[in-house]
Amino acid sequence: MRHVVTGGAILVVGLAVWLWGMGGSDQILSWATTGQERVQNAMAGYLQELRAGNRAALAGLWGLCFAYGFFHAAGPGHGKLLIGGYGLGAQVPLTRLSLIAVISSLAQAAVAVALVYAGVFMLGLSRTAMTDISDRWLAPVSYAAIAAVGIWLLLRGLRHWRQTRTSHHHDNHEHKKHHDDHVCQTCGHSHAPDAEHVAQARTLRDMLVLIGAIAIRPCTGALFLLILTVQLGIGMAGVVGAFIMGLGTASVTLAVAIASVTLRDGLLARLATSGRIPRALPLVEMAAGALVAIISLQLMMRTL
Amino acid sequence: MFRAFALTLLMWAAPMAQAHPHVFVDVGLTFETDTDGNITAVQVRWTYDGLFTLLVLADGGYDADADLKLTDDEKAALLGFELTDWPEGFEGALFLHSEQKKIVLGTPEAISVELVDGQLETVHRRSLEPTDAHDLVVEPFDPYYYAALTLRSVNGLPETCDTDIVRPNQEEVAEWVAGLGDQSGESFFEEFRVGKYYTDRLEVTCATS
Repeated sequence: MRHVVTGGAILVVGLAVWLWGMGGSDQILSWATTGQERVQNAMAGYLQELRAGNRAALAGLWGLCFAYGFFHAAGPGHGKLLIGGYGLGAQVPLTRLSLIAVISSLAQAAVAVALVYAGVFMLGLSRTAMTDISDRWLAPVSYAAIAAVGIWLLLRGLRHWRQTRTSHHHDNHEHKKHHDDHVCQTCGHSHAPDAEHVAQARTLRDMLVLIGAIAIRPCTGALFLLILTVQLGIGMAGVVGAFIMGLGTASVTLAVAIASVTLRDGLLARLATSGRIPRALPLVEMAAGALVAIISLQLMMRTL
Repeated sequence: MFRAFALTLLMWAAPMAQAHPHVFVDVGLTFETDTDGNITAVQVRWTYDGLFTLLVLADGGYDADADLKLTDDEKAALLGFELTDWPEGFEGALFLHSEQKKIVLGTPEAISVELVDGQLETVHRRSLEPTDAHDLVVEPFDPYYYAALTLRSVNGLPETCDTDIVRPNQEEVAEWVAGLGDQSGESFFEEFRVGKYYTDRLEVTCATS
């Protein structure tokens, strides 16, 4: 399992270096210091060259897309909150959380592509109208969905906490109940073979819920790029660019996933020596859920 | 453990790409004077950044052959595109003061639109009551800071006048503005109208003749 994660991480880092070398980083880094004017002009330059038929500008545009995705992901949205909170609170293995991080970023790009192509071709919407839909409707919906997942984590933590409390008094009976839950409280793995199917279904459900909550809201930068490239007649450059932007975003959410799981494991290792894990775990889960819910509700209020 | 937790929190809160500005504009001013040397009008040249230019071209379907040249018809269609539909209270991103009194500018009159090296360049004219150039202060800025304006050139003032362009330290201003509140929403820019803090300032002093 560790090997898969390491391999995945190396792949992303390699991709980052490759795209970095194309020059995107210079322009984006200057964003922070000398301002985004240079970035905007560089972007325009690449698009202009592509429009004039110079395919060599593709590398430059895509490099810029990756760097944009990476830096933009540092801001609110893009699922860092949810990934981090879930990683802290739920008993999720690093591999699975990393997978969720990457898939949700790419799904976010796919939603942007679907939205733009449906909007532009079927409804004839303008760029401003599309950005409006994303900012006014999809952003709050996504935050609400993330808040709901936070509350769900909180409630699940509460249930686990109650179970551990009762387990103190009725040890045998509770042990059985733990197995009903299909997940061992101390290690996060499913032990009952007959229950494996159910556990897998739950895992899949969790994954889909997380990915869905994040992907509902497409990134404004991707929308902007997609619509502009459609208008300029270089649509495919924009579609590929949107997914590369998603990879840039994924490298940040992946880092958050790794950080949160490492943090949780560290916490568990410390508690393991004191033997307080069964009671501490649900508390961590509740705290993470509450944090996710509160922050995303605040972000949602801001978009309304 | 706390260090790691703080790190994770930091990542969530790390500064995102700024909400404003979205458009970058270079400004050139050419003053018109009457025979007494009083200023009667100012011609304003706005040169837009490449991306905004491309957006305007794409939205209107201009320059379809991508040769970065506008036909006469396209120029005629684009002329004055940014002068119509000014939002309520928008004064044209140009503020003149003489002896600390605000000078009222006339309605903008479109003069030309060109595409120069991939950047749209427009010129419009604002008239004013004949005003002594001495002690004139000119500040080109968008109060909402949707556009960031930079004063690049000044022409047409009487020969007896000296000009001084005072530019703020952008980083210091940005830092100060960041202290005002959360800039991630539009309401911040409506409330604080921070454009004035970033503005270049032209100061004119003339020898009395």
